[in-house]
Order: sequence, then structure tokens, then C-alpha cells
Amino acid sequence: VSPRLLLERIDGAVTRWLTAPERNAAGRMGLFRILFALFYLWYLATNPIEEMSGYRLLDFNHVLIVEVLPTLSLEVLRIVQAALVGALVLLAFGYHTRVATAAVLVLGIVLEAVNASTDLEHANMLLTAFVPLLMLIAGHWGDTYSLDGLRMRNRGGGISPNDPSGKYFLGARAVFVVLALLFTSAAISKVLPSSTWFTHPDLLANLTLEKNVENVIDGLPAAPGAGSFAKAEILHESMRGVIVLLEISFLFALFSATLRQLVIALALVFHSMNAFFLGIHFAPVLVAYMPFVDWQGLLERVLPQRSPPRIPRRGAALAPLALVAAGAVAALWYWNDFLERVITLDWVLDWRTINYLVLPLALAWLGAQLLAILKRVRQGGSGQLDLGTPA
Amino acid sequence: VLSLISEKGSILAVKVILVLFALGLCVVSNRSTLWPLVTWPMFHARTPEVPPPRVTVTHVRVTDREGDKHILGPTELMPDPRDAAANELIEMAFSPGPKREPAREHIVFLAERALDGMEVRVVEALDRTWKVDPYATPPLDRSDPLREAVSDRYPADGGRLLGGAP
Repeated sequence: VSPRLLLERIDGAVTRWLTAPERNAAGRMGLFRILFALFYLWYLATNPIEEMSGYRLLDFNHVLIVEVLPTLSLEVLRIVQAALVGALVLLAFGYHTRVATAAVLVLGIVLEAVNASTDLEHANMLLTAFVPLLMLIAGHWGDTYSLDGLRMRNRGGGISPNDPSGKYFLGARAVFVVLALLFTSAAISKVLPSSTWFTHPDLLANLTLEKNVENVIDGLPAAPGAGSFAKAEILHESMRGVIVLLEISFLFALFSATLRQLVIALALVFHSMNAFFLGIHFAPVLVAYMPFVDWQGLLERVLPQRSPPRIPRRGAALAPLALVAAGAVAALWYWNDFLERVITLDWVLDWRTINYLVLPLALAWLGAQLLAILKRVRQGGSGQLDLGTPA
Repeated sequence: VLSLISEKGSILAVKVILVLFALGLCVVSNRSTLWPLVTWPMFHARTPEVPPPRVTVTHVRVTDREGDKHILGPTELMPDPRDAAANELIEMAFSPGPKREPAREHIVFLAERALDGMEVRVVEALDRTWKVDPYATPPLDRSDPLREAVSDRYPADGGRLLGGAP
């Protein structure tokens, strides 16, 4: 086989993978867009802009984007954040979705680069950069549950939320590739000779104890399982291997939708358990898992009579409402912290407590995935790669 | 402009981004400069120890215009999980160096914000020591430090402090 032919074959296989059908693809991506915008608003609410104002002082990481920008005063940061909030409201409405997505991407990267310059570990590249970038390029998350979709329907080009066409899921699959590459980089970094992951048997135990003491001194609740975990040698030593396996399994999950759903459910449980029992949390990464929940299917279960929701054809009149809402929310966000308080339930719903919502849902999802696999095994698998979940 | 891109064009653009991202990850390694193009080297090179039986941490104690004193830990200055930056800020404010003065000003700004706008007059570095049992839950009683000592202080308005150093 000539190199050119081989490349063409690989390219064809990648295209087929990226565009394989997925159950309810059109509807679930529209719903994901709304959830993404709401999640992003919550994320902004947990990051008061005043914290960022000392970023030049705390610039430990010398992020290039920050270095090339002029110093942004607190006032400018407030305006950028308010504009981002307005763009997120428009995105939730699905009004000129691509423009709104582009605005979310640019404004979000600027703000998060400022965060990254101070605290790289908690800067969220998936939420602020890669999800909006890939959705912008793939371009179909505004086709359903949106004013853009309504406009299309009024022109006779309406799209069913149950449409499984792969083009709607292109962005989500690309997000999963990014996630798989990042987790693979995490696994590789742990097996490199410079790593202490496998050379220090007590690494996880001591890390847990250290983090727990730090958290309690900082006024956070003690992790209930930290001491027991550190004492259970078999548990914390084996966890080092399990964690690397989980990280590397994201790469294998590219080849099977069943494994993908299972790995995501496991990762969600893993994140939540880390947050609760070990005091280590990376809540904003949750957004990267969201496209893989069949929100459309869930909506149809909850509201079977009203799916898809009936929006009158004259609903295009909602456009001015979207603009007014975006302006009002942005202005309110700029002037005071009322909306931040509402979204975070008066600062209760933070990076740690959100796991109270995530853990039971993740456990239920994991259970459902395991049952589905068991059922499939009993019925006898086809032995073929299941790239997507066709309707 | 983007709406003019065909389905094939979108797929091609996605592929190009993913290839560049994969190649970029190999190049950037652990460097942070090119954020958002960074790897996830989570906890790969740490060598943590079991916490010692006594742990000392510097928090700030501020005196407001009413004369009331308030102890502010890093999570009061910058909410979790950005507290690591607050710890760095506290260290900067009480160490010699060019960033000491701006760090002091920023602590006053964050403290007044944490106290709902109450004017801050004096900021002190409060070294707090706790007895720690790392395997217990909780590992220490935060409300009952073994020892608290002021190691440094400065006036919030940048002027001179009456009475000098502690």
C-alpha cells in the first residue's frame, strides 16, 4: 500500500468516526448549548473578577496571551466579563449562535488567560477555549432549541431534535479527542522517568494527608476518608495504577461508544469522590463530559407529551427579548453581585459542593452503563466497533 | 464567514485543529506560556511527606476602622481553589522585594472586599501554629491554634505605623 493510499484510508476512517450517527444528536447538542451557557455563567460567578485584578502581581506563569495584552484594569476586566455574560445569554437563546460562540471564545480566552497566569492548575482550557472553538467550527449546536432553529423552521428547513446525523455531533466527538489527548498526556507524564508517580509508594497517601491539612487550615471541611485512605496501603498503592489506567482508557474509548460512555461515567465518579473524600476538585472540567449525556432522551422521558417543545412560528419575536435579556443580565452582572449570588445560591454552590449534585447522578449513570453492557453481553455482542449510538 | 464553510470544510478544519493540538501537546510539554495549549501533568512529580505534628501558616489579621480585628485566611481573600495564589500574595507582602508594596495594597483591597467594604486600618502577618494528627478527621482544630504570633504589620494607608514594629 502506497503512503498516499494509506493516508487516504486513515483520513477516510477518521471522517467516518467523526461523523458517525449518534442518537438524538441534533436535539442533545442544542440542549448542551443551553447547559454550556448556564454552566459557564455559574463558573464566572464562582470567580469574582476582583480576584483577578492583581494578576500582574501574581503572574507566575507568564502566559503569552497575557504578556502581549496591555495591563487590564479592574474596570476593563469588569467590562470584558459583562460582555462575556451578555454573549452567553445570547448563546443560551441560540440567537446568531455562531457570532455568540465566537464572542464567548475570544472574551473567555482573554479572561481565563488572566486566571492561568496566576493559577494554571485551575485554569479551564476546555470550558473557555476548546469547547467553544470546536463548536464554532463544527457549527450545529445552534440548530435546535434556538432562535436560529426557529428562523430555519420558518423558512421551511426545520430540524428534528431526534435527527441522529453525525454532523450535529462532530463538535462533541472532537471535544472527546481533546479530552482523550489530555488524559493521555496525564498518563504519559506519570510513567516518564522524571515522574515520582511510581517511584514514591506513599505519594497518593501523603498527598491526600497534605491536602486535607491544607484544606482544614483554609477553613474547608475535612475530607472524611483521607486518614483511612492513607492507612490502607493496598488501596492507595493500587490507586496509582488504576488512575493511570483510567487516564489511558480515554484513548481506547475513541474506538467504542460503549467504552466511551463507561469511561466518562467512571471519570465523573472519580472526580466527585476526589472532591468529597480527598478534597481535590476540578469542577469546571465537567462541561467536557456534558455532550455525551443524551439530554434529548432525558427530556423526552421527563416531558413525553411536549417533545419537541412547541414554539409558535411567531416565536421569532423572541429575538428582541434575547437582546434585551443579554443586555440586562450583562448590566446587572457589571453593577453588583446579585446574579452571582442567585446562580451560586448565595455562594453555596461552589467547585466543591457541586459534587453533591454530580456524584449521585454519576453513580446512577455508571450503574446504567454497566447494566447496558451486561444486557448486551447476555444478548451476545456483534463483535463490531460501535462508533456511535444510531437511533 | 463561518456559515459559508461547507460540511466538508468543517470536518477538515476540525481535523486540522485536532492534529495541531496533538502535535502541540508533544512540543509544549510542561510549559505554561502557550496556555490554552498545555498538557495535564497532574501530580506527576510531587514528593509529598506526611504532615508534621505541628504546622505553622501565616494568615493576615486586619484591624478595621472600628478597632475590630479579623483573621483572614487565603480562602477569605481568594475563594477556594484560588487560595494558593492568596498564600503567595501573603508571602510577598511580608518578604523584602520589589513586589512587597503592590502586594500589600492588593491585600488591603481584597480584605476590604471580604469585609463588605469596611475600611481596613492595619494589616498584620499572623503566624498560626496548630497541633496536627494527619490521620484523624479533622486533622486539626482550626478554631484552637496552639500559638498565634504577629511577625510583621503595616498600615493600610501606606503611611507609618505608630508604635513601630511588633
